[in-house]
Amino acid sequence: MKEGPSIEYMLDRLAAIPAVFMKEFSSGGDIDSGIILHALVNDLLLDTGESPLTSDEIKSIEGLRNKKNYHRLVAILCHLYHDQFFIENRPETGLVRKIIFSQKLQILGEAVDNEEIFISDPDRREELCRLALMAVNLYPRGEDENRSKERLATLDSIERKKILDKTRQAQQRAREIREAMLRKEAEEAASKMSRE
Amino acid sequence: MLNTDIPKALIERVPLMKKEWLTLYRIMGEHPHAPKWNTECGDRIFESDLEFVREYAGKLEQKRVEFRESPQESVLCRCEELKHRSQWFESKLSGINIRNDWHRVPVMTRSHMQSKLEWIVPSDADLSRLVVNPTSGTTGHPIPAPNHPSAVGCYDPLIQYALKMNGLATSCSGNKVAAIQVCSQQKTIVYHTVHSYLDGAGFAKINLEKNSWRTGESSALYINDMKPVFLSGDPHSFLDYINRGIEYRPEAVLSTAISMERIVRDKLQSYFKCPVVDMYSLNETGPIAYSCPHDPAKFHILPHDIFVEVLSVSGEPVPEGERGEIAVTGGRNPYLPLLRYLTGDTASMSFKKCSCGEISPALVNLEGRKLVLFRTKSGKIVNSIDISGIVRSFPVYTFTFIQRSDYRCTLKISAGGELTSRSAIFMKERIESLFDNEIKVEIENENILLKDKSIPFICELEL
Repeated sequence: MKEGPSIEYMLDRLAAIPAVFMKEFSSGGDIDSGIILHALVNDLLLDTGESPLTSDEIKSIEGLRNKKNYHRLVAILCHLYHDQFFIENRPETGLVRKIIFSQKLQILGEAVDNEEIFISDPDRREELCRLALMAVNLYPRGEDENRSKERLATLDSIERKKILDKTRQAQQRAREIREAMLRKEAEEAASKMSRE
Repeated sequence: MLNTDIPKALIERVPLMKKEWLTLYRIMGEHPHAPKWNTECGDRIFESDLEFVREYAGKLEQKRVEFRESPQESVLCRCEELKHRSQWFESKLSGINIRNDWHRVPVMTRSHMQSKLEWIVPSDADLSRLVVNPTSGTTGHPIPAPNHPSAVGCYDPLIQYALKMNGLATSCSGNKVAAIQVCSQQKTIVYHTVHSYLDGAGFAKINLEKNSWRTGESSALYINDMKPVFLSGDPHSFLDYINRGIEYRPEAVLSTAISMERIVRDKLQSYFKCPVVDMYSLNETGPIAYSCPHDPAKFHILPHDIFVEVLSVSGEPVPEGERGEIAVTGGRNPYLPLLRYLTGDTASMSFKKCSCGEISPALVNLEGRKLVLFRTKSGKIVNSIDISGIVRSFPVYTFTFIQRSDYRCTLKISAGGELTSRSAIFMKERIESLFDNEIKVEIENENILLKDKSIPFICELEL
């Protein structure tokens, strides 16, 4: 991994996201009804030295229209990467494309309640900026590789959601067991010939 | 034959009930001197459960285990499998090679079983078959343990095995009363049923207390007419049986729930003139060990699917012959797999070959729960079970009941705001009535959780 821009730089960049990136995307290619997301991605790929989107990739982006949070994350990443730093220091070929089309980004979208949170919540902002750097093999200036990985791990929304889901499941199970025990204590037991 | 004559409610309790078992069932229930039954109960065993119990019985006979300091392979495999199904096993076995470092596995305690039950119960266990068997209350701090009819059904072959090893040659199966469980307390459930595993053999749980019967002679007449193959109960109930002069002598006596002192054993043996078998069994674990026919101070490990060890305070296994706390791993209860579960009782382990022919290791000098009896000034005996029965009906976390040498009684409790002062007075009055209101009971609320192994009953009266 190499050193990239500082995390503060990335956060500033994120804070300066144009309002239009956070509005509804165009649904039928009509530019007046909002940003055309695949066009945004295509511009980014070209400006960072990648090949343009294939028709399958365009279909893939459009096909995920019901994944609103994923689409918003793609738009935010386009803004983050469309920075002078990444245009001048082109990431290794394929990496930007890989994160845009990754399962991880879709899962990350599912892990949050609403699409605004990556702008409004400080931890989620930092997580996304760090993820953007990590995805193109960079760590923030002033840190080292290990520290940046550790910090990202502590902010990991997917992991956090897994833990919350597990906790919720455990609480639900505990409730079921407690209820079953109370119900069955009041009922008859199974006959046995000795006592304890 | 059609099941049309079998009451629907009975089929719910004994799902495999057969028409030919009804006669015995009715004789037991409708006998002119039958107890005043106050509940109904059955084995709740389905066909698949019966197959499980039969298979278990076969393995119990054929797979006697000779483990030493490490668990047998079958128990280790079950632990490995539970790592994926029980959060307790997953967290406690994480990073431990159980085949090499078994002693590093953390212990499970009674308080874990109360506070972390949902960690222990496997996540995929179907709770619809869960049953909760009441405990006698002799320990004072009973743990309501979830159980499954098939695991409870395994008590039958386990008991049969222990009785057979102690010389009972008669079969308990078929058209006969296999057992009567004798209780001696102010209040308890009494019922009669038949057991599917024993091909419809009868079983009754009775209470010798006079209010449980129609006449003063009914208990003796009923037991005599039922002719159970064996009697089960605890030392106190057997002593009461003898004191009441009940003449019926079974072919074996099975004592559980509290330790049997040698003097009590001698008394039972001379009265009943049959094998007297002591079984070490807990509600959370099921039967653990049975008394050796050649040396009743020794308890052979009974089930083949548990691993028993004796541990120091720090959780390390103690050398053979040294006293420590008994820990149990394994078992067949699908809701309560055990992992080094500390029973709270102590013993030392013996791996020596036994002259009785049993090859499983033995617990020696077992210090289980002692029988504690209290007295009124006029000499009436008060059973600790009745005291715990009252205390348990109130929101009390833990307690210790002490009778001083001058007959005064103190009930130390740990209870939160749920126990109102009005309830506490009611509890005190109920306990005092057990002592025929001759003795005052002081209640002290410690407001802190008494230690796990605090002694629930202490009697300082001189004998």
